[in-house]
Amino acid sequence: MDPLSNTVVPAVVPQIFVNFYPIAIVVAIIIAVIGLSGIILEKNDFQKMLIIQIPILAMYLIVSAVGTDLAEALILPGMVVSLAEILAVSEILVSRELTKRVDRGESPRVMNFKYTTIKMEVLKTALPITSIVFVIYGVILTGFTGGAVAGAGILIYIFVGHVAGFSHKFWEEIAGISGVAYVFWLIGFLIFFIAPQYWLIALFMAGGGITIKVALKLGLLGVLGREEYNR
Amino acid sequence: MNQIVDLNGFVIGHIPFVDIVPYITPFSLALVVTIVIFTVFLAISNPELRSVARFREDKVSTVTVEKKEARFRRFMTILCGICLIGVVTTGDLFNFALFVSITGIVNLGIFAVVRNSHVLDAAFEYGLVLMICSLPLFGGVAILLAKTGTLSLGVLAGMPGNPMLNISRALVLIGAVGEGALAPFFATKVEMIRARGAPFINMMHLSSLMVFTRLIEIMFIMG
Repeated sequence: MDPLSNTVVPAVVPQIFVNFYPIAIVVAIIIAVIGLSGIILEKNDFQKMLIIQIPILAMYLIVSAVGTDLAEALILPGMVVSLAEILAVSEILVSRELTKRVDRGESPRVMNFKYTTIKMEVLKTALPITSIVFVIYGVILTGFTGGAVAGAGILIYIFVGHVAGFSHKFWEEIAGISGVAYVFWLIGFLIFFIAPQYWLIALFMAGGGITIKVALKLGLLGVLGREEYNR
Repeated sequence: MNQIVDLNGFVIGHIPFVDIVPYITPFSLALVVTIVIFTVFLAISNPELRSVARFREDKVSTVTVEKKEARFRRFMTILCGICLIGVVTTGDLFNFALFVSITGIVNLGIFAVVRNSHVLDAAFEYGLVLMICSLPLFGGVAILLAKTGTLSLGVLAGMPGNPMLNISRALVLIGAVGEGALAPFFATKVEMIRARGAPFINMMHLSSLMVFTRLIEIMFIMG
């Protein structure tokens, strides 16, 4: 049982992809060490909760380094669990602050948490052209994964590039298009079952629809709710 | 060679869920019966009434648990029992990791509604440990998947022992110990148990015990 030997990896996989696996694991370990040292150094509880997402990112990296369909199926439950954890912990943080406020005799109604903006240097120094690379790669991938990659590209453009002048309504309408694309996805799936001889158009409708739906779901990516970016 | 049979005796049967495939042995059957009895006992019991005597005051008051709070905690307790049945019967390593981490979240939920800043402080720290420990837990499972190509405990039990799997064994051990709040991480749990509402917090002890029991079996199977 040699790791990643020919008994485990089929012969059709090129050797270069197999050689990527140890590199991915080493990168994940480096990311985890960076994140965990950040948790040790950080004193603010809210910031600590945010920094914990970095080791979780390393977890996604280790799981996805396996690179099979099974790994893709395993990522989603892992994401759901970590999302549930962060929701539960943030609820506890809010209710703890409320309880402390009540103990001190203050009104629990006024909620103004003090938070400091994270000064991430990468948001200022990264090249906006990276977003185009992401979007093109996402379109080539298609499907759910491609949509997520393209959405990340749009997010990079919003954060890094100098986007100004778009109203809040514009971004809402862009996100609304994802609803229309979702309908295309559903119709594509229906055609698969109703008229299987038109499978090609059904495939294109479903694949393209889910790509556009996920890529433009900016609310899911955390963009909506602000009027303008980098004003 | 088959460690499941070595540890548990014969396998009574498999439950063909879609891809979860739990297996029942006399050992896991005993654990399931324990969990079911304990959960039913907790679900029908009322929360405790705790008497609080203030120092230097001639006053003894009774602390009660509000009905809404008790209802939420009872719900979380039942949920925790269901997750524990998954933990002790599952036949898939990734499902084991998922059930263990869901058990951790549900344990957190039992304490989340208590309006006590000490308890909430401890619960927050426990939540941080939970989030960090999902890295070694799922990471160890993924490394094992990459090395052996399977996640089924039935297949893994038939494999010969391999020292290469020790990395993923150690990672899964660290992860499950953190998620189940076992020995090195249990300091936060002790603080959380200061919460009022006695019968429900016993679920946390039971979950630690069951995760620990199952973890030993998993460690032997992965070897």
